Amino acid sequence: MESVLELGAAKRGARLASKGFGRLFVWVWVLFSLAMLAWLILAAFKRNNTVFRDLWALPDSNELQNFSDAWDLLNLAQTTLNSLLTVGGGTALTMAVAAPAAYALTRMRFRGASPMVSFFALGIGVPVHAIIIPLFVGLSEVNLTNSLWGLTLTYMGVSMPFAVFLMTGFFRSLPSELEEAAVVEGASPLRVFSVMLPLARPGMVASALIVAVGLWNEFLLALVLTYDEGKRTIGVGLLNTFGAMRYTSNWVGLFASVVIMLTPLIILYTWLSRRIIEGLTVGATK
Amino acid sequence: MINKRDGRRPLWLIFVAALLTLALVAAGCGNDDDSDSGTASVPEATEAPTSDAMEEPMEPTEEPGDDMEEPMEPTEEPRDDMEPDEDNTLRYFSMWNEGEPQQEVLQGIIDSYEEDTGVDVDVLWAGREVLTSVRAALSAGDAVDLIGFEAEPLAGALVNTGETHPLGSLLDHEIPGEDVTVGEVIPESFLDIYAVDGEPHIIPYIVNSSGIHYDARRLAEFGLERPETWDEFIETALAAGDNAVQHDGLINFYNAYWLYWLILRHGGPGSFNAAAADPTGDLWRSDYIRAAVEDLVELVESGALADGYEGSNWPIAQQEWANGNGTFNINGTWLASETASYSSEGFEYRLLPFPTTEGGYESAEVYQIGWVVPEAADSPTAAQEFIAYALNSERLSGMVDVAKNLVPRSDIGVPPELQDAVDMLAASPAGHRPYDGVQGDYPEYWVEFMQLDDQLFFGQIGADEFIDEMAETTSNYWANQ
Amino acid sequence: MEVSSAKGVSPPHLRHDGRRAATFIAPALTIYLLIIMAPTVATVWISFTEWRGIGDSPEFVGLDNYRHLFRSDTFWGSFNRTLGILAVGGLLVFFFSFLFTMLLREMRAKKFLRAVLFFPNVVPPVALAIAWGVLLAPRNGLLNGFLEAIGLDFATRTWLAPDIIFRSVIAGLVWIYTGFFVTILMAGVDRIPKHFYEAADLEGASSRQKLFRVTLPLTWDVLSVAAVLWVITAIKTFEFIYAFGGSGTDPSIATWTLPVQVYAVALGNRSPIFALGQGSAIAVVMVVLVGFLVVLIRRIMHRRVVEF
Repeated sequence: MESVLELGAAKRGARLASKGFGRLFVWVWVLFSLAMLAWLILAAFKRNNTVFRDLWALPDSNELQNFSDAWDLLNLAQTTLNSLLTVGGGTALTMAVAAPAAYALTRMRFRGASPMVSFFALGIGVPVHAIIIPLFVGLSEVNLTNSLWGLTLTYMGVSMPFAVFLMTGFFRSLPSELEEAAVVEGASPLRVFSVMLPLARPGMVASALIVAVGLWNEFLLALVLTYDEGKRTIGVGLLNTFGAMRYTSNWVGLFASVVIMLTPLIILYTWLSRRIIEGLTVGATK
Repeated sequence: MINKRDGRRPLWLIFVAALLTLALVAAGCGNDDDSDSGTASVPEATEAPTSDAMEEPMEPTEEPGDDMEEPMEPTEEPRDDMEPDEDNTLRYFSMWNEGEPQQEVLQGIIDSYEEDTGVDVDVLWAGREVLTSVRAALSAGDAVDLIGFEAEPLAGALVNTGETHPLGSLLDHEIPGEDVTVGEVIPESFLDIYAVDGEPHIIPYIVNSSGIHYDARRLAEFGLERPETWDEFIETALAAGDNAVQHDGLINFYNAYWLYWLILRHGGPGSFNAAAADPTGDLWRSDYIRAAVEDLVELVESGALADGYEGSNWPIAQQEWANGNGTFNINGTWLASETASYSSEGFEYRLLPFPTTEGGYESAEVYQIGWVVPEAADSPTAAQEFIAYALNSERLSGMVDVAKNLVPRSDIGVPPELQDAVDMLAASPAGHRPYDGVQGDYPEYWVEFMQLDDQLFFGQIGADEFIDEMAETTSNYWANQ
Repeated sequence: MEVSSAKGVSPPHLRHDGRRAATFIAPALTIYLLIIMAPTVATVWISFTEWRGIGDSPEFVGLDNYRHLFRSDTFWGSFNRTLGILAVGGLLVFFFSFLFTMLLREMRAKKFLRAVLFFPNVVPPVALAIAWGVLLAPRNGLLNGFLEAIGLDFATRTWLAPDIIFRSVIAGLVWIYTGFFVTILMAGVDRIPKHFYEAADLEGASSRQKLFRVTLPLTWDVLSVAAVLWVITAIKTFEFIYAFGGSGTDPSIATWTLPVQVYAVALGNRSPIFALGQGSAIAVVMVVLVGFLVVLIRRIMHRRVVEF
């Protein structure tokens, strides 16, 4: 009896220890990310000839020159605007078109609704690389390459399957009382839809956020479908800066560019992270 | 149950916001750049230039490159675009990144050209993937009048497939501000390399080469002589301290320098290209290849290469080399320019022509950077005018003084860092293309070669295995063509 | 990713309105067909042709592109590396995601930690690639510098040497994506009613038992979604690798995966190949791979969903 108890205590102790170790590991992982960020920020204030000499030294000077170099090269105002326009436009358009489709697919009864949902879902598995070549050729034909409008349209297309699929999940779970009441009152389908939309709001916000984050990180389409300096999105702009900085070995300038780009992002993220993560959470379990 | 009233408004707001954003995007695109965006409201504007370029009767007036002195201005006039300014626009795609010294020099030339001629030069600093941008523009039917890039990929991607303008007539064109013609200052030997049917298609404005760079002071510190032969080179490197041979191993085509040079030393100019072009792959089993491969293995096994060279992410090794950690670095002659801003004080740039081998050949690499005028250019004559203008000795001298590059005009002078390179080019009995033209002629094959070359250079496979694999890869490649 | 029929949810009086539904669905369907489906079909067709895409028209060559691919070491290298990300990267991502999900559940700073873990997913991959490159640089990188500073000199490595560079790439991807999958798995775990765990605790279940008896079965559907998402994410991973080795020069061939090769062969590269047919053939291989794995995952994971 005693030995069993002891064993239990030892086991519990071991369990606590392993849990403590696990928690430590989580912290190490998180601190690693933060430390890397901190290093980049500090490095942005250093000098090229010393930045790699003594990795851990604090910046000895206020090299604001780095930031003005970086600002000139990165053209952040333009690239941010381009990213916001294409990501914002793409997301908004996607939602505007996907919501009615998802609604109809779940709330209206017609033959083929279910296979149609599967058909949309199929598109989630198509990698961008599988469409980029014809897309590039096709958009060239209609003069939509090297145009933010063309990129926005493309963004709308590539987000469509996931958005429709995600929102069918949300619409399906909605209660039908309101809808029935509206129908009884003789409302048109559009009217019924507008009654149902508010109920789907959390789902729509979640979907929009997931779509927006996905497009924000999109890079290949922007790289291939545009080429003008004035049309670069943030990712492509940074890639160009990276290339330029390597040829001149201006590392601190590169770090400064990264910091300039990250600053608004971090601010926005501290504000929006809860919503993004919640959106993802709702999306994943629907 | 959610209250009707509470929920509905915000959602409509979302839709209004969506529409607003949409409008914004459309507006943003519209204002952005009128030349190409496909907003619905300006179809005529976007169509005009394309149909224009396509129009049959236009072509004859565009084409006559042969007698281009006179009709240059008139051909420009009759375009009936919506905006008259567009007549005077030259669309230039350049390989340089903003901030590189070459870019700054070119920008200066462009500025003064605009001022002198009233032509508006619309330049895209595209970086080294400039041809990706060019392709995107050409497919979309956008104007590309002038492309500046390395000659090898230009030849492989555009010239050899007939997508560039012949520039023979440009040779008789006088260089603005000077009493000479283009043909009189650009040596024929450079132009001939990429000529098609006897006509040049690429006009160089920079001529690089490659070799092994070193800091003269450092060699002196170790009390070492400048090596001449391959054996001397390895001996010297072994005596020249730690990390004697710095190398950025993550760049496949930098790794390829060693073997390509060794093959040319043992087999002569054209011998590497011949091996690549041999459909049976048997040439890879010949003596000159084996000798070259074994020489490379000797270097790899000697320990002269810097620690971690195989995982060095460019430009880290060349940076260390310039900072005095390491003695040698094989590279293009642009190395002086690339490292100028951070090399250690008093650094004395010297260039060692690639070491000779016993009973071998001598030749020098001619690595041109130049201009082509695409076949589909809107204003090919204006593009050629610009080339002639930029080749003016005063204007081109910026490439020498500021960017520290060699230029094809021998009457301009030489950056002191590159005197060795000039001597090397002058002393060489023959010239050869970068990588003996393998990169430019067979870009797909080049990818396969670089991987095996990496394995050899990193000591992952030996000489025999490398040769067998190359022979097989080569015959497979040709079987697939 | 559950595709169930719409049966049962629609009120009866809304039935049989196919024509009305069509007007609701048409715009989304049009865009979808135009931008995803038509190009996918076109890619399959282009993969049977030889085409440079500048001033030439496609020439039908049958299966030549595929024959060529399957005989090319470059292709198999890219293929194997893609599978490497899928399998090795997948194992690591899911191991860490699960571990963190379980640990975070009971940690006080949960929200903060999760936000930091997730952060790489909102940063442009180019920036991540820059940071990762600085971390792993051979002589003056942060990791080696750190190891030396704390006296672990023996642990320093040439992290980007050809034999381990791809492991370094996978490590980077694990670092990025773990936060994403923690978030997704946590969503599943948070849904599990507390009393399941309380009951398990009462019966003296170990952490492992709780994991296998409670957590796994009850999050199986979320897990299945996550697995499918990973397959898609892993196979199309491009940005990080491209920017990691590339930018200003081509990415080292030792890091090429299928999507990087599509790009290098068909779209870009310093000395362009412009082989649209070849690139399309690789893209078709990617689609087939995704399709095969998604079906496989659905088969394996489908029937074990527990309702609660």
